[in-house]
Amino acid sequence: MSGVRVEGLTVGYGGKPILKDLSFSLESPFFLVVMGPNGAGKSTLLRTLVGVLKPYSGSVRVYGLDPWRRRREVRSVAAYVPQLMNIREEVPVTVEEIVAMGLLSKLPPPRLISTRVKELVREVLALVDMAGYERKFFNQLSGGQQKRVLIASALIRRPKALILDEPGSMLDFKARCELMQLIEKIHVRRGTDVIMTSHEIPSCMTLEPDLLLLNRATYAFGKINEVLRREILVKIYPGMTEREGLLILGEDHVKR
Amino acid sequence: MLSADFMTIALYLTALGGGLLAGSISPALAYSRSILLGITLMHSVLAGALVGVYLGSATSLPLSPSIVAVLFAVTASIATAEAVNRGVPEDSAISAVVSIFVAISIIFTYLVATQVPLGVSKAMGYVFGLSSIVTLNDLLRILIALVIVVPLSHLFWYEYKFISFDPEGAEAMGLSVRFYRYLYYTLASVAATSLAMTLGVLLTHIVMTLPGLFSLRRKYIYPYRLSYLVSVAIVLGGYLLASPLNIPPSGGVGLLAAVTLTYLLGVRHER
Repeated sequence: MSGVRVEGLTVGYGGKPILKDLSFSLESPFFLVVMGPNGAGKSTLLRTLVGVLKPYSGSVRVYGLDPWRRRREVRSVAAYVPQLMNIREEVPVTVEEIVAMGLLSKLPPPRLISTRVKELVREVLALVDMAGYERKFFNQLSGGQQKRVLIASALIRRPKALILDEPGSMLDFKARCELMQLIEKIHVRRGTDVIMTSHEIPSCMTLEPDLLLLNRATYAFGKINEVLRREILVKIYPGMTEREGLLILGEDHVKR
Repeated sequence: MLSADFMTIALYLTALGGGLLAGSISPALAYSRSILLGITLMHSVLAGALVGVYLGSATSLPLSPSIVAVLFAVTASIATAEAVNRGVPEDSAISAVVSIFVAISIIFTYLVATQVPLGVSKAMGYVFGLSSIVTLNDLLRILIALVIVVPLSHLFWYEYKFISFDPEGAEAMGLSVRFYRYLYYTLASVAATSLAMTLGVLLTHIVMTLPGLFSLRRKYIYPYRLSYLVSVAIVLGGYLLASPLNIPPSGGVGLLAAVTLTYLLGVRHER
């Protein structure tokens, strides 16, 4: 199968399910945005897709592979870009080291940054408009630049899919739009499938992605114009308001 | 009888080896914010030494307190690492593990004090160190620890630094966060136990943390040069300083460590 298939997935932490009986499937090429309130299980879904979490029940296949049993292979085809909030910036790591690790982690030790690896790092940094930043420390970069570096670290693995956890979080509107344009460019030009979580569909997005609305289970799944409808959204975001034709979702949180 | 010259050379060689050993593991502790692990190691080494002294005396088993101390330190560090891997905050995990080893220390201090003549003073050698007396065994112990700890800590440094930087991303890339955490905690245990017999557990904690903190503060990509320099300067310098001041060598190490820490606190942190 050339895509992602999730059937009856129940998964969580410490025996407590976060997602219950989740089902959806995607055929490559796909660009999926996963939306939902805080605590709806968006990040949990991504972690399950890359084999960090073991499903309690149900079936998950990423390009035909079971992510939990065949983690190594899945991580070669689906590269995960985590949220910035889990990163410890005080550790002095350079851009080159971060991007190189994306490639070297696929290889056995000793993991040394050779001249060839440096070349590949330069190429992929150019792709995300970060050429010349190799020797900069991660904590010297802006939020948008940091996201680009993490994307470069994923891209250097030449994955079939990029799995991004809230790439637009903690960025201002301009930086968020620039980042979305970059992700769209990667999808269109390189044919890389994309799954990303978000609290919104950025208004500057030009593609029409698939949308998965989560509320600890599949609430709605389909094309963006089928899912982003007032009668659906109001059930997931009870605090939603409408102003001058715009739907304001607010920041609702799923009640446990 | 060994000559005074030999004893002096052996003393400084042990100091040099101890400095290199501390310098090789210190960056890993500082970069992964595991400085408090030193507290776990201190208590587990002491508990292990007491258990070793007691068992060696109460049974006919050929048990060395040093070996038991290593086993206790490794167990304590792996227990801490496992708790952290399971989502327990590191300070809570360390507190829980320390309380277990403190309890063991209290029980065996009582047993050793009542049943093993001179046993407590032998075990207390681990607290304050026997740094002014060096035997071939001490030199050998430091050398073996160096052979184990130095190559492994260098070999996997890049991975460990990355895991310290972004554990979630590292896991998703396929790096085993658990494996590397176990490895470095075990290496820290081996280094701590070897150093404790020479410097004592109190100073061991200091010399294992200061050099790494120095490198982290200076934001070195590859921190070992500075870490080795600082740790060797503190330990060897402390030994050299002790002679004219007529104090125990570990006292000299403590003085230099205090000066280094004061300097570290005084230097403006550059972002």
